[in-house]
Order: sequence, then structure tokens, then C-alpha cells
Amino acid sequence: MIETPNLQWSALAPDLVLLGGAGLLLLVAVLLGGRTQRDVAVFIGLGCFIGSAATAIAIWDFGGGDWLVASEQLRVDRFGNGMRVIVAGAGVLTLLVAYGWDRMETRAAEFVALLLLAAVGMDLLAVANSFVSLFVALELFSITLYAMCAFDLTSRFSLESSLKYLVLGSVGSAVLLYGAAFLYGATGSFRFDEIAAALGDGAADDRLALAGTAMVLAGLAFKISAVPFHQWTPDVYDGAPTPVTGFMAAATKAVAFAVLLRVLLQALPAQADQWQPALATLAILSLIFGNVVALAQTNVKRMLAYSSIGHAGYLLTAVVAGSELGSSALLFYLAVYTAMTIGSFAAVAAREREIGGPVTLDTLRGWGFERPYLAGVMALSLLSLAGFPLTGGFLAKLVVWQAAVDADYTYLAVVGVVATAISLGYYLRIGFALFDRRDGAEPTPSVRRASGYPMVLAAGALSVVVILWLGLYPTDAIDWARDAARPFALGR
Amino acid sequence: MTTVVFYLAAVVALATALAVVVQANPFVSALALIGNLVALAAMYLLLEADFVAAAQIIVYAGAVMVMFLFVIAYIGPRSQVGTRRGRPWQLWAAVVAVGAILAEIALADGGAGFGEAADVTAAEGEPGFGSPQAVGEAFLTEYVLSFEVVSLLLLVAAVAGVVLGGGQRPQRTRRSDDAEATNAVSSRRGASAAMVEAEIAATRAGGAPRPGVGVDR
Repeated sequence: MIETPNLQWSALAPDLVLLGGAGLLLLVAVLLGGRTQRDVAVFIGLGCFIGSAATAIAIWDFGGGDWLVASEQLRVDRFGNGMRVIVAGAGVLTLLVAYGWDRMETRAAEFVALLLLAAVGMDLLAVANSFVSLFVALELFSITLYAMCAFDLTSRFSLESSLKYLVLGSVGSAVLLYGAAFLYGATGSFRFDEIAAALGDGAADDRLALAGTAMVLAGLAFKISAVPFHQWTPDVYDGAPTPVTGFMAAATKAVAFAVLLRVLLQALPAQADQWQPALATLAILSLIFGNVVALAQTNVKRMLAYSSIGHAGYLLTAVVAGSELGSSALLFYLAVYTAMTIGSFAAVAAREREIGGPVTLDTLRGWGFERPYLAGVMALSLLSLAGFPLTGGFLAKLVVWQAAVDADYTYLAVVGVVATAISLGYYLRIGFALFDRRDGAEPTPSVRRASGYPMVLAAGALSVVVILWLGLYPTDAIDWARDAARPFALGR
Repeated sequence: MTTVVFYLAAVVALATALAVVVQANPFVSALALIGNLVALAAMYLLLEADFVAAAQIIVYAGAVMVMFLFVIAYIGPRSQVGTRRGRPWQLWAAVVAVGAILAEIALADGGAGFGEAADVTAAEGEPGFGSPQAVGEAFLTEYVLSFEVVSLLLLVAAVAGVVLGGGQRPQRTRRSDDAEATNAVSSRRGASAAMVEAEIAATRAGGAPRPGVGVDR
């Protein structure tokens, strides 16, 4: 008699909600058409994301403790549930931004279904407790995103970005898988807790284990787009449809960091002496390279792509610290980052629809007088990305640096401060362009009305609420982050 | 005996792998890839992983490669576009990269890390490890969740295929475009008209009726 595995369905509820919605939407795709389909699809999608977040919060309240589910393949803990809420939030914002996109008039149900399935993969990645579930979850959302990048079939850039993402993403996944196989060879297990135990017993210096660790790190560095594994980022962010870019930039980065933290602190703590300097190097490279190259960009989407590379550096700083403080800083940062990233991409999406072309510094000039609310959202998101006081981005950077200093990585905090100063250069340039009223600075005329403008504005308003809430009343959120991050620390 | 088979398979695997990259004709490359996959399957058999070997033959050498050949036949003459030579520095960069990987493997193996580690894996003690029964049991017990998620992955692939392959905006194209599109596609790509017809029919059968699916590609 084969023993059946214990699938604790309640622990999977946030994912099952999304999955059910995706199934329903595929029926909707057949039964309804045109704008009705779009409205119904977005409604179902919003309901599923809100339901998913609600169940994740319920699990958190219910104790949320350390549930090892599905033959110990998943670890549903507070950290994982926090990430589920972040993913669901990114999903809600993305749906609102995508509403007025012209592809939504023909393929809305499929788009929303793919978005929900990507979110399922992200949720599972955030709670993965073995390299098998990690890899399968990673591929589920990666392949979904490859398809979503190509969604704009009339745009060559969209197709190009999808192909580039597919090829480079596959290389990253393959390297990660190879590394996992090495770690299996060294420890005899795919499970994070068993790998940690085996490595703690003296296998940590095994060459096989070291090679495995290096490859796993390289594979995950692709996903978080840290320098020098960042090459795909600008082209893919630029070419992909803007709602997809926003989702990719926010949610993918968030869960990739979550799983990086989990792998490092729950599977490879014994090798901290090796991975800490390696990641510190990646952090410095990302901080400097991302922010300096962003200065030279005129295309706003490319600029935000390089900015996201730079932010990978701040987030890596939190990971390198390897302390409870660092892990809670990471979670807090990711929550703010999701809101401010999608907030800025929402404005880009609206402007793109108005002018029917790429958004550059020139085409943004003077837009602030035409669309003050949306431009205000963008300005606030950018200020938060730059780390201005009173915004969430400021506090997020502060806690990250505090964690770095506490863990004796003061130089990372110093580099971070320098990088922030550099980043002001391009964030403020966008801000000034938005509200530029000089003579001769004629705003580029809008060739058509931005479709779905109220929805984009709603997304922007939600991001603003989150940014200001986390910036002005952060105590609750920081407590939650600390609560979730408790098990994530190197035992020293 | 094992050693002989191993070296035979190794030589075939290396030679065919080289042929895949070096051959200018994509058709020959694809055939060489089949040889490569079969040689690797022989290696898996030597490692007593019969299930993986069988899956390798059926899935990769069989299904996947048939699709490869189908695509190559479909694209036809345009395949020559990709075979122009790269820049010289790319060659040197490739050589350096290969050298680095070899050095890494040599370094990792230098302390007999691979050999030793292979002796202490969990694979050692269990009889029947890697057999179809063991794999099946693992799929439905320990890895049941991952197994199910992979089926979601297939669903995603199917949906993405319909969305990306199905053209767009069905109401924009007229019915009379149909024949025109078929002719244009078949003459441009050099594929047989029958194949295009079949594909359009298949797309239509798969999704809602969409006139003129060939138009936008």
C-alpha cells in the first residue's frame, strides 16, 4: 500500500482561488466576446486576486505558522503568505492598468487567465521548500510571462522581447537546474531543510556543493536581473506591452528575491561565507551600473528597466545581511517596490496609448498640465523610487542600510547612498519633464483619447495610497515584516 | 562490455553534437541531434535509468524531433538566413567560455569531488531506483504537487499557442481573405499548400471560428 501524501488544501487556498479563476476565464473566452468579455474577465480577475490576498491574510491570522505541505515540498509560512499578498496586489494593479489596452478587446479572457496562472506559479515559488517545486513553479510563471510578452502580435518589439526573454530566461533556468542537480549530488536531497542539514554536517566545502551553489546563484541572479546577469532586462522591459512590463518588473522581481532569500537562508546557510561576498559584489555592480546607465536613457521604459537593475542592488544588500532585520527589510522593500513600480508604469501605459508610440522624455514634456493626476502619481512613484523622505521608498532604503550596517557590510550602505545620489539625476529628469513649462517646450499632442483612463488612474491611486501609507505609518507594516522574517536569519 | 558501450556512445554523442552546430544544412543538424539524443539514451541505460532512457527516446528523439523537422520543412528556404558567419570575436569568446567551463569541471573533479559524492547519494541503497515503478510512485506521492503544476504548464502552453498562433482580431478580416492568405503563405514560405490548409483548419477546430487566421503572419 502506497502512503498517500498529505495535501493540506487550506494551505494552498490562495493558489486554488487563482487557479479556479483561470479555469473559469477559459470558459468565458469561449462564451463571451468583445468588450463584454473584457469587463467580465477583468471583474473575475480582480475578484480572484482579492480573494487570494484575503485567504493568504486569513492563513496568516490563523497562525500561518510553519506548515510543511505536500510531502514537505512546500513550506507555507508567514513570509510566503506575505509574498502571496504582494503578488495579488501586483495582479490587481496590473489588471487595472491593462483594462484599456487594445489587445484586451480581443483576447481579454486569455490574458487574464495567463496572468492568474503566472500568479499561481509565483505564489508556489514563494512557498517552495525543495528545488523540484522551486523549478516547476519558476517555469510555470516564466513560460507564462514569455507568452504574455508576445501578446502584442502587431508589434515587432513585443515579439522580439518575448524571444529574447525566452532564450535568456531558459539559459538562466538551465543553469539553476544544473546547480540544483549538483546540490542533490552533494547532499542527496532536493529539500531545503535536508540540504541545510547535510551541508551543516561538513559537506559545505565539498566542491560539488560549491559548484552547485554558484550555479543556483547565477540562475537566480538572471531572474532578479542583477549585473552581470541583467542583459535581457532593458530590451524585454522596453519591448513587452507596458502592463506586462509592470507586472514583470514588480511581481517577478519580488518572488525571485523571496526564493533567493529562502534558498540562501534555509538551504545554504552553511555556505554563507562563500555567498555573502559573491552577492555583495553583485550588489555593488548592480547599484553602480544600473543607476549610471539609466542616466543616459531617454526612453522612459528603458530608464525604468535600468532603475530596476539598480534596485536589485539595494535588495541584494538586504539579502547579503543575512539577518532577521535584513529579511524583514527585504519584505518591506518589496511591498513598496511593487507599488511604486506599477505606479510609474501605469502612467507610462496611459501616455503610450495617447500618443500611440514610445514614451520618451520629449513626449512626456508638459504632460503634467494635461493629466495632472496621473502625472502626479508618476512623480510620486519616481520620488519614492529615488528614496525621498515621506515616501515608502525612503524608509525601505533606510531599513536596508540599517541591516547592512548591523551585519558589518557598511560599505554596501555607502555604495547604496552614492547610487541613490546618482539615481536622483534621472528620476528628477522625468519629473522636471512632466512639469516643464518653458517656452518652446510644446507638449506632444495626444493623437487619441487614452482608453481605460479611469482604471489606470485607479491603479495609480492605489499605488499612491500604498506608497504614502508605508512612508507615513510604517509601524504596522514593519512589525508584520519582522514577524514574517523571523526564521530567516543566519544562526550567529 | 560496459566500457565499450560507454566509449562508443560517448564518441557518437560528441561527434553528433559537433555536427549539430557545424552543419550548414538545418535538416542535417536536426538528424544529428536525433543521433545525439539516442547516444545519450544509451548512457542513461548504462546508468540503469531505464525509464529516463525510454522517455528520452520517445519524447525527445521521437515527438520533439519530429516537430523540429516539421518546422524546418515548413520554413524551408528561409532557413539559410541564419547560417551566415558571426564576427571573429564571437569565436574567441566561445573558445574562452568553453575553456572556462572545462576548467571549472576539472577543478570540481580535481579533488575527486564528483566521484566521491556519487557514492554517498541517496540513490545508492534503494533497489529499483529509477525504474518506471519508482518514478511513477514518486510522481504520485512525494512530487504529486509538482506533477500537477507541470500539467498547468501544459495548459499555459496550449493557451499561449492559441493566442499567439491564432492571429488576431477576427472581426477585422473578411472571409474572402482566406484563399488569398493561403496562397500568400504557401508561396512565400515554400511549404506545401496542403500543410497550410491543414494548419488553418486545425487552428479553427481548436478555437472559436476565426476567418483569415493566416493573414497576420
